[in-house]
Amino acid sequence: MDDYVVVRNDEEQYSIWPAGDPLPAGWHAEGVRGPRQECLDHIDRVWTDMRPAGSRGA
Amino acid sequence: MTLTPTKRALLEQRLRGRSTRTIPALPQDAPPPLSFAQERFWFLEQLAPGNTAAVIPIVLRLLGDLDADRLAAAISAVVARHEPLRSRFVDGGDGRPRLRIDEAAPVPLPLLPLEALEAHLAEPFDLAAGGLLRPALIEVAQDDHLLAIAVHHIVTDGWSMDLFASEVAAHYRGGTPPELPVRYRDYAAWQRANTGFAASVAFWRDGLAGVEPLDLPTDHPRPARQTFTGAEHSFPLGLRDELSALSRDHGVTLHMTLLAAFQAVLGRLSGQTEFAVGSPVAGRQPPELERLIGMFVNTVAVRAPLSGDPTFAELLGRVKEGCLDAYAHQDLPFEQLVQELNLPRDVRRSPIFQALFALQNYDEYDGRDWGGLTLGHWPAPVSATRFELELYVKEAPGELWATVVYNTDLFSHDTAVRFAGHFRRFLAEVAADPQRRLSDVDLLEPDERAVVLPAPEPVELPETTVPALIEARMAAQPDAVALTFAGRHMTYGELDEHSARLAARIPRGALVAVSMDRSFELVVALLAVLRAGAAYVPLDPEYPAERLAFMREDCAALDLDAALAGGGSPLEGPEPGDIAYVIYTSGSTGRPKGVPNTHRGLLNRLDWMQRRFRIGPGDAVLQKTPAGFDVSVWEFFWPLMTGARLVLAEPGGHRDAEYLRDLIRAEQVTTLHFVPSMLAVFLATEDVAACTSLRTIVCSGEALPADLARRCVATLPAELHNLYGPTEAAIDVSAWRCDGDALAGRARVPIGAAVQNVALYVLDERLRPAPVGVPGQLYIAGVQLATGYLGRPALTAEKFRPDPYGPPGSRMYATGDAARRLPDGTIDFLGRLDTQVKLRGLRIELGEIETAIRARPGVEDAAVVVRDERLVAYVVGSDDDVRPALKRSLPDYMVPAAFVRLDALPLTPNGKLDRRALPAPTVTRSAAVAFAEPATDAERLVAGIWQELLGVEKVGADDDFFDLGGHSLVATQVVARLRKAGGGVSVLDVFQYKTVRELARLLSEPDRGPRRLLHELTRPVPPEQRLASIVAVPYGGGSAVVYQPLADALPAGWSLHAVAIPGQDIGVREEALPFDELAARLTAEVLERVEGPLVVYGHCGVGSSVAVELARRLEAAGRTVEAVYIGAVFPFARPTGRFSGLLAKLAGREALLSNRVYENWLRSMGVEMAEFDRDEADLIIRNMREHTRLAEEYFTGLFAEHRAVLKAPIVSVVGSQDTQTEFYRERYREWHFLTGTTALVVLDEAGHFFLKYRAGELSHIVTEVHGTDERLRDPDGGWEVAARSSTVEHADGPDGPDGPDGPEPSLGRFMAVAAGQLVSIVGSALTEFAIPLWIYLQTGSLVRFAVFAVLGLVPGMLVAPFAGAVVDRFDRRKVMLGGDLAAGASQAALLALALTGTLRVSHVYGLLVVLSVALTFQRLAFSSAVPQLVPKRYLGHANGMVQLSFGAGQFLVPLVAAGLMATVGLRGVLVLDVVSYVVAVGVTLAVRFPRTLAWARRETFWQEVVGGWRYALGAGSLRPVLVFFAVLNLFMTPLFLLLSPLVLSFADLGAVARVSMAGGLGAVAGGLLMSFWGGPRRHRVRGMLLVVLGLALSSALPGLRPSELLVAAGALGMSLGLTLANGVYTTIVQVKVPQRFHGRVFAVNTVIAFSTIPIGYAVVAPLGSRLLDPLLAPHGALAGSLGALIGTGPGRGTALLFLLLAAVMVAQVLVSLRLPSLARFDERVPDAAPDDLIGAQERQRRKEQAHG
Repeated sequence: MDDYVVVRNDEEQYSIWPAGDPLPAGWHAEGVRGPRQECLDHIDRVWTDMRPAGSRGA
Repeated sequence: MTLTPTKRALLEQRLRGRSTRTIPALPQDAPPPLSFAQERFWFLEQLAPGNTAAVIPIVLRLLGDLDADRLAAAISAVVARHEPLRSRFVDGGDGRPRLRIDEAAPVPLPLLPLEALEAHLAEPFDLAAGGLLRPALIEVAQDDHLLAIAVHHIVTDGWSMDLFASEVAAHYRGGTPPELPVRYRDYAAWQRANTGFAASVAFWRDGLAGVEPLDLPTDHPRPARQTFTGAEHSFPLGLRDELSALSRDHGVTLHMTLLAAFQAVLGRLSGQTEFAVGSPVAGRQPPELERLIGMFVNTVAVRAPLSGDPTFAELLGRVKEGCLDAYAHQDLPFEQLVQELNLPRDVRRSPIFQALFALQNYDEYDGRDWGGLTLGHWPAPVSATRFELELYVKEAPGELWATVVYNTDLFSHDTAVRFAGHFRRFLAEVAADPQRRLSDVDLLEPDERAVVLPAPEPVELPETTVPALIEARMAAQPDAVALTFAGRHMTYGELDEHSARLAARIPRGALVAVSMDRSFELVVALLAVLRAGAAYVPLDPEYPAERLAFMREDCAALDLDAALAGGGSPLEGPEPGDIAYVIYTSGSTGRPKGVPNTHRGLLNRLDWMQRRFRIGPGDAVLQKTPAGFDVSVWEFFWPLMTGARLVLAEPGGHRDAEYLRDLIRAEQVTTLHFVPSMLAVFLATEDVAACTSLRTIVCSGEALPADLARRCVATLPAELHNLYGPTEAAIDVSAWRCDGDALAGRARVPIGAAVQNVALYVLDERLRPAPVGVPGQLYIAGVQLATGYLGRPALTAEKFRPDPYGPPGSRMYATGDAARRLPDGTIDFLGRLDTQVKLRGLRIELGEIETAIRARPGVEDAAVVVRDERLVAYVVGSDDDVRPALKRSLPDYMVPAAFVRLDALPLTPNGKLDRRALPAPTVTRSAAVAFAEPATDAERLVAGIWQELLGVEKVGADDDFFDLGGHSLVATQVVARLRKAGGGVSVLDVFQYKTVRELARLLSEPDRGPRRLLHELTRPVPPEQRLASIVAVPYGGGSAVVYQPLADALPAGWSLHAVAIPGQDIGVREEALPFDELAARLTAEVLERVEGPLVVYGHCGVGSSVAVELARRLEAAGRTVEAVYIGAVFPFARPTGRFSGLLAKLAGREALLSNRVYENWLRSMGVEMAEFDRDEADLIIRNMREHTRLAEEYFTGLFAEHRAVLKAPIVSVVGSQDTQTEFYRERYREWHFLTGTTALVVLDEAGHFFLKYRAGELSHIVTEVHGTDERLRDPDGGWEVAARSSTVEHADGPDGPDGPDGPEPSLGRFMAVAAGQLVSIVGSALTEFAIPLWIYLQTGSLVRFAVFAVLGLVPGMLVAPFAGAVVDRFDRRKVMLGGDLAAGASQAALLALALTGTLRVSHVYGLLVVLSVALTFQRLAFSSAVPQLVPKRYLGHANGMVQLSFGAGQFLVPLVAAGLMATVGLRGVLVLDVVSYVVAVGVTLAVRFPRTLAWARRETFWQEVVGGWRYALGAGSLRPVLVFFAVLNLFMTPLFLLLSPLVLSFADLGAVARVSMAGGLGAVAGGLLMSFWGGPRRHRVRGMLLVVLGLALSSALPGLRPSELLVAAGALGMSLGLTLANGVYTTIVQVKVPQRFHGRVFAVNTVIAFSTIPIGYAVVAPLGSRLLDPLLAPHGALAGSLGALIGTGPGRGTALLFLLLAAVMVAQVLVSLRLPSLARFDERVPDAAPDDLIGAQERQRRKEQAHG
């Protein structure tokens, strides 16, 4: 199975992207790469506040 | 180049110097065989003759100075050389083909115009006729010609045509090709002898295992059979050098490279990796075949080795290997292969492969010397294809040309062009980089990219929110109605106030769980949450507690009450980015997930909706979707945002189509939503077309079938829009308007284009846009995207992915739905990609159910699939409690309907679940009810019976009979089966105890005690809400359930208790109770159980008597009865006088009538008798008759008492078309004998049994009419209070009699008048019978005899319609007197002439006409006056007496007449007659007629006839029966007439009298027999025909010998047969014609008799006899032959006429028995619709006309 990378946008929303494919604009690789489930598990741990950064307010 | 093993073997063979001849020559005298391929083509041709797919079109363009003769000679020479071109293929007579080879002959070469080219090439061949190569020459210019050759594939192939061209060229230039080494017939014989295919068969069997049919996305629905119409698209491929280099580098041929690319592109477009592509091989391995013309080509299947996403270079390697293997086994003819593999045949597709590829590297340009001509290019037109898609690549000098041939029934030209583009682009990409993976190759041209990745439609959204917009609305129109619910309203102002008050207490930003049924409170709460800036979580109270508990915990929402307790904060309202709502959706991991949607998304969605549909204060939007589904979100807030009215359906009402229909009409709803499956239910509901207020119908939730959309558009005046959207985006993201034109030719309705500010993508697995038409996954991006899954980061990250096509940093949601882009950019929804499914609009994650099942302890594995719109679970392991366990944790709609236990789940080779291998479940019950195994014997018994009768595979203890499709018809069968099994329940019980468990409990109760009589059919009404109760008594034979429709229609606050009269309820064998006991028990029950205001209703005789007695007893017991309603009957009684009573009894023949007579009557009245089995029907009818007798006795007794005994008013309710309640305007007042106040309500167009079809109107009548003195009337005109009458005040009936002027009707009056009339009428009949006899005796002329018979009959017939009109208009008594006087006078004149001895035949003409006419007036006036004379309660009996008298007259008259003629002669007869008229006139003068209503026709006779014809010719289908009778009459009537002359030819008048009596006996016997028998039960027309056959055979008897006995026997048989035939015909009309049309149909019969009897009498009889008599004169032509048998002399010609006409009638019957229109009449023509249904439809029609 092909690898994925964990990606994040400026709203601090997470997602996954096929490793090796060019990242769409506005998304940054978060540094984790691995099988899909591994990436998703990682996201489960790190994405604690799921509100978009822009609407988190004070 | 690698040699194939075969070739290598051949090479080795040659090198070893052995014989180079592989193929031996067939002996010249041996019959030439066909090759396998030829045989297959021949069979294909037999299957589809004229199929042009096998015609090869060739066009050679010849430039230069052409010599046509030389060319023709050259062609002929080549045809002479090659036997196949001279072959024909004929049927050998055994279904197998034979080959015929014609002698060589010149081949014609016609010169055709250019326009004829295409037709010439497309014209099919006749294989048997030969000439299978058809050349033509076309002159384009003087030096530019086309040689157009159409040739059948059975004699040639591509290689051959190449050879053909070069040989023609050789001959043309004068050369001679070398001798041929072998002939095609040698090859065919060798091929057939060579059976060494076994290894090849094994190779192919192995190699093609698991190949799937290629399933390309098609533009049109696939036809049910494979079709062959084709077209082509040619395009330059270019890339010759690049592809040559590529092939060289990878050690493959150009053919392999192109084939690999073709397969790769097909794989991309179909998404498949397991298909094959056909590729032709030359099929000429033995080298001596290389110079032959013939069908050698074979096709091999090359498997597409695409799995694992290889690089193109890898693919080339795989294709090379596959091709070489295939070539090595190419000796097996394809047609043999198909047979050997024995594949399951799919007639929609070609076997094994559906796409074909060929590289045509033989070339007409190379090395051809055409002797001065040069070759040009001219494409051959293509009009047929043998496959779905064919790709031909031609190696032209320096160029590669490609042609796509496609099946035009599957693909459009645009698709072929796009395919060409994909293929070319694919080749260009892989030529540039063969190391790219197939999935990496981009197929899209730039213009297609713009179609598949459209930019979202940008619409500027205001910086506001939906609640803010609603607040503005509430402030702007505070007095407008915002909400309507159950008839109550809430204004915008009130909504503002209530919601603001709540909102002020809800903390901003909170999640608030709202769990309420639909109500004002629900809307107020939801709006309050939004206004507070909080988000609501709808929790459907109908969900199982476990699931609700999970949701509450998962989202940690505050309950509304808790939120409110939180105290207040100033109202700020939400920001656009805030969450508006969180809705839960099914989850694949086994638990539902909450989806938060933002205000911005919601606003965009509602803003789009308002732009698109534009509603405003004039609109009403129906809210019926439960709040837990996101459709409800727009239903709630869009109308409030726009000032429209929100109409809330009652909780549960969204499932009840009839309720919805009524609500839509009542509230004038303009806009509503349907899940398609509910839309289908709705459209199937009666009267939905009346929902004319609807403007917009929005569908979403599941795929919308196109035919459903078409039906919707055709049925309703509203626009229909198909929307699509998952919960993960705010409600809907796309829409498509369904209008008629756009729907045409579609199987599915597209989901359309994206809404504003939203983008939809169809992407492949690598997230690249799929080409147009190619399925991919649907993704959603844009402003409506939800924020993710509440508290589920991993799941959110998995489903909400970076959007590579949107603004930086944006996300797109992977829907998991398969879709494809249509050429216009809209999207076609194809279904779910994963295991998530939609059932009845509900999204279900199958995995969630599977997880729940696997969680059970005994379960090892589970799979859940959708089959036939139901969930089916396959369970490995053992656990009996799966269903109840699932029911606790899953919502009902997710609990599978069926559970199938398996030892193991079937898997595909890849290890995936093989869904196709799962067995069909054996269950079909609804998923809505959990299955509980029937536990007791009784439960198993009931469940077993339901299972069988309802066709359900499995029935659970808690299943509801009606949910499983049960209805009253099946209910009676259930009852019957249960009774056979020893269980006594009634139909009523089945209605009341709806589940197996409840019904079984009833069975198990050994003694239920005395059954109660009262059954409450309405839902119990709490005492404080009760307005009144109705106690309803059914008609004779009726079960209490006949009142269910009325009960359902009653307004709130009313209850209905129906009476189950013992012995009238199916399934309970109870003896009829004595009337008094029934009344006493019923009274006691009512007093005990029915409280409050009380209304009694009784229908028809039995119902009315019981109702009246119940009311009397209740009043006697001190209970107030508000009113007694009596339906469809007036009081009726039996005459009690000694003589009249006896006569009435005799006339009634009651004891003689069979139950079938009643059954027919009931059926004719629209009672569904078919549902009863025979015993059942007999029982019911017996009890009905008994009850009716008791009812009559009851009323008879009451009349004798003569006193008003009821305080309650009696209201008569009658149908305007009910013949049982004629004279209703007068008769309703008869109830005054019981009460001081009475009224009449007339139901327009209703018949006798209007309880079912007019229940709605009846509910208004019985609840309203007695409460007021007003003359109420239905606004639609369905009913009105036609009259009211009180013994205190004056009656106000408009047409009622003007008080008691004139004498009262009485039995005495009637009997006196009747006696006088009957005596005189019988007397006249004597005269009419005697006169012709007298004339015959006087003159011996049959012609005169016949003429007088006609004169006695026909003038009366002709004048009857006019007489009827006169009678209807004038005083009956005066008409009767006039008739009496005229008839008497004519007789007196005859008498005078006879007495003076001056009576001449000529006198009689005029007098007989006068008599006939006068008699008609007299008879009609008398019949019409009967109701006037007799008290109408005795009317039934009185009519019976009159009929009896007429019948007796008919029986006696011929006997008496002939007897009198023999004794007292004509004078005596006339004396008697004149005396009878003196008596009749005297009585009529003496008796004053009451001024009561007489009988009058509803329509004039001619209106009846015209209506009857229209009916008989139209829907009635009676035409064949009528025609039969018309023809029969012609032959039959003369025989009846000729009986007397026949007798007189050999006997005296006494014999005539006896024979006549025998005829009369036959008629009486026939009448009695019909009474006993009642006619056949099933094959009525066949029965009638057999009766007529008996009649016909009897008709032969009189002709056999001059014997009085034989003639009498014949007369008896004829009359008997005729009476029976008429009787059976009457039952046919009763059963097949609705009651209201009976009069018309019988009128048509009268007309047929009118027109045929005179012809029979006056033409057939005398003419026949005159023609035949000479034949049988002593020396006549037949005297020796037939005369020896039947005698000769006077009258024997008449006898022969009997024989002949009898034979004709027998023939007519025999022919008719063969005619399907007659013999199968009973099966073909359905029973008449219930009379009241016809009436209800007529009402509906009128209403629509009035409104439309």
